[in-house]
Amino acid sequence: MDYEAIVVGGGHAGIEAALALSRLGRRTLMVTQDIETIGRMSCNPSIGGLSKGNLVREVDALGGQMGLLIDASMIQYRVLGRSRGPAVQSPRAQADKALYSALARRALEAQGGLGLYMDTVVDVIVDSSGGRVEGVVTERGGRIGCRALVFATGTFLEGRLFIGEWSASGGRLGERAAVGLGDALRRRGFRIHRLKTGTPARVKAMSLDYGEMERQEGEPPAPFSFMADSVSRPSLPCWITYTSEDTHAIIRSGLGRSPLYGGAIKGRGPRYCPSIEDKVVRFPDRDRHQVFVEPEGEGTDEMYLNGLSTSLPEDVQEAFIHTVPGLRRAAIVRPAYAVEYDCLDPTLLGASLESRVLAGLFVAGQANGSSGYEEAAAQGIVAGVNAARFLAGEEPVVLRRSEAYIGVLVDDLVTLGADEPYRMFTSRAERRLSLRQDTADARLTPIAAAVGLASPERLERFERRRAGIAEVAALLSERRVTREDAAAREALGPHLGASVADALRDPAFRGGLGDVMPDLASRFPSDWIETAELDARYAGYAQKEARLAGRMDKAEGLRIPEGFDYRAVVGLSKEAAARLETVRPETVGRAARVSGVRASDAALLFALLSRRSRD
Amino acid sequence: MRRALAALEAAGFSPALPGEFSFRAFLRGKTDLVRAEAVQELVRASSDGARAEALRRLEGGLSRRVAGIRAGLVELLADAEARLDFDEEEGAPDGRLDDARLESLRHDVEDLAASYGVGRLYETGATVVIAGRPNAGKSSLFNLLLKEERSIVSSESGTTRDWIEAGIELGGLPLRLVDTAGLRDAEPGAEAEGVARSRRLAASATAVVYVVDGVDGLDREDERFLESRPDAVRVWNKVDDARRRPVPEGFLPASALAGTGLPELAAAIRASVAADFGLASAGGARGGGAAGSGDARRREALVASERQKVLLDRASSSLAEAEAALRDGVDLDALVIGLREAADALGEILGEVASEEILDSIFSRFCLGK
Repeated sequence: MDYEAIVVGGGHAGIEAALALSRLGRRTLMVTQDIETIGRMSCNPSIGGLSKGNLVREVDALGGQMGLLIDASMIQYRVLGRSRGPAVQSPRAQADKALYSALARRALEAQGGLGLYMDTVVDVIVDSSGGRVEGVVTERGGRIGCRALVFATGTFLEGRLFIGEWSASGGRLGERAAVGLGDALRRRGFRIHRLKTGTPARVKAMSLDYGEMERQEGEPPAPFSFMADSVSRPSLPCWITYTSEDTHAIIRSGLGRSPLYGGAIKGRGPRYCPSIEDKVVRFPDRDRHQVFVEPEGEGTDEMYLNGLSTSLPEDVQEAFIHTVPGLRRAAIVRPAYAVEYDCLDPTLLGASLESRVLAGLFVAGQANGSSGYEEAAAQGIVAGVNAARFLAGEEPVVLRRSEAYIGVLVDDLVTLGADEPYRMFTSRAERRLSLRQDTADARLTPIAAAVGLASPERLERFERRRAGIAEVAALLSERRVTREDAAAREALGPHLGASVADALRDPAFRGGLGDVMPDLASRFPSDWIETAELDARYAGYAQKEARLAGRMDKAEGLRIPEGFDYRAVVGLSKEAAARLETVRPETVGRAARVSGVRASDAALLFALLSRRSRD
Repeated sequence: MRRALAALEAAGFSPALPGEFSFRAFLRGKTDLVRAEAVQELVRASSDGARAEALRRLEGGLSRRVAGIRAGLVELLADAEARLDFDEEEGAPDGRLDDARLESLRHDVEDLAASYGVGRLYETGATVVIAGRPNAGKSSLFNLLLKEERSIVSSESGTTRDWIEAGIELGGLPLRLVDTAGLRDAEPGAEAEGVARSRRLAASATAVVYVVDGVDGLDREDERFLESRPDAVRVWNKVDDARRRPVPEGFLPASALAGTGLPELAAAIRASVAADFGLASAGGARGGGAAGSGDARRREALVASERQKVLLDRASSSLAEAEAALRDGVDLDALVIGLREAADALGEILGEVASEEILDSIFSRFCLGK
């Protein structure tokens, strides 16, 4: 065996998978089509945002790389969702794309036990039984052996680019697609479907008229990674402008030449990230759409037109962009385009992200039908950890839905599949209030420690923070609301004699902690105080949410034996049996979420298996 | 459905006792239990009204109402979730959640929950006991109400030693009408036993018609009973007799012999039953004719099972909590739990899941994402 593990792809999933594998002591090779494009951000120049920021924090808490990379490359930091409530608010940072990519490559290069190799994988080598991975075949005929394989091929699998009437094979504009692998996998029994996504044009910063746009500043930056106390990075402004009816008229007139509307693109695109022509067609009443003009980095003159993703022809693109204030003389550097790509049906994976078609093969990222850097990284670390555990003959790590957004993400993908590119939303999580971004370490670092991914330094920091938060929490519980407090703050009147922790549940007392216990701020870092405060403030609601979600816990704990014969279950509907045979959920809880499985089917399984587990 | 139940039994399930839904938590998913329950009631239905009601529910009357309310709630949830999942800058709606919509949804749920009484009444029927001293004319009234001679009528006091009952329909409500032994401090013996039983019956009845002999007037016995059952419908019988005393306030004048005062009595009985089941008495106030129209018809029996009622109550209290939270300025991420809980409860009545539905609603209504 040449390597214990091979990771195919150097994107955000591949990076986390390769680092996790090698950090867990597995001799690993990353095969990528181009070393120069490792860690490239193909689309928007930012990391994080609502629920995505939580994913980044979770990846970091597990010992991943993404948080460290964005901390060192951010050029603007903001916390989103502040007005919606602290449980969902989450950090987002604009990234210097080139720097991010360079730092990612440097991290891989610096990692002991990890090799990088520039080649294109066109097939897998399978053992004589046909059920187990033994290596990969590359474009130039090379054969590299391995026992575990992680596919993180992004949009490159049989990727096809579209701009108006033009179409060509490619993974990103100017980059070759990985041709052959998709077909090879189809032949081996993988179910493959097509998805579509798109990206807007990049324009020359010097050609824009900033006087016509609103300036959007960042906030003082804070780190994503639990490994840092602060970050020191520049803060560049973004710019806001709007389309107009003139823009929309041009877009409408170009629809006939759109590959999306003309039918050339078959794959389904994401509803949450619609192209501008989709927005114009689907919401004809809107007289304008917002456009964010975002820098792609410090050392580049390119700006990203967030909100103007399109696959319309280049002349139409140029025409409609020139109707937008601030962009009237914009010089397009790279046109917008759509990309259609193969993705492997994720319902053929177990919750470990290991394929059930081929043992030893793990799949992560856009190849599973997800979208987004953060979603990719989250799957990457899960696939890497579980590939390592597979090599060691250990049980996989499966994060619960109540434990992490990563758990929700993986469970959704492998249970429901991805008919459209899957993006994380806070509303997908039943236990949203318990999955706050500031508690990612408390939830996951102990798991990282058990798995072996938490460095001694991380553990030391983690213990210190945990103990500190507990200390603050104790102080909040001990401190009683006094007459003086009530006199100083009217909102405390009704809480006389109660603990400050209890008083914090009252929305009227929001933001008043510093007045009542001013000594806290001098004794503890602000993020410790904030976490303890939010814990107190949300205690009641989190309990209620837990109660609501708790109903599924029992079914979640009931395992379905491997190789369970659904056809032999009397009374199970044919449709349910067929779906369950495909998805092969590990637990009855997952089985109940599979589409096509009715409540009566799930009840039947529950009865049958709970009786069995009693016997 | 039957096949599924049989399969469940084969797998080791015993059929649930009425009201026992320990398995609900797990079942919360995809079947429409409302219809399953209607089937069960159809089998049990005793009166035509009950049967018609079960049939109507089978056709989806309740499901439609619940689904309608739930659709409104999912829309409101989508409004909230869009704010939580998309920042202002991604085009999410801004400003406060619409508390008027929240309140009107809660009213809809409460209206529906209030229909539980009618449903329960149709399913179990109401017991109306006719009580009074011996010879006050209870059995004559009973027969008059039955419009047929089914009770032994005699001028001898204490003839009706035990109770006699019959099912009647009053203004569309199925009632169990019970004629009891006369109340009297009887000597120990058979009759005393009958008296004790009639007191017990009266105590547990949905409604009581207390008959007083208008010629004899009120005595301590009557007063004692009426104190114990102040909601009783009071009848001043024998008003056609020249010797009768003036009708005291609160009493309905009637003559069992002449058959006068009957429509008023029927209306009063209906109103009393309706009040007990928490129904609007609009139908009853119009007298013992056909089932009421308008409000009463809108509230016609819909919610019939304890389970549905419990879930509706849970939904309305969750919505009330969310309303209060909105008023108090609780953050959206926390107050949304009340909305989710309510949607869950309504979904549980129908057997539906929400998360994907909410996302669908978000994307069809808001232009989101960059």
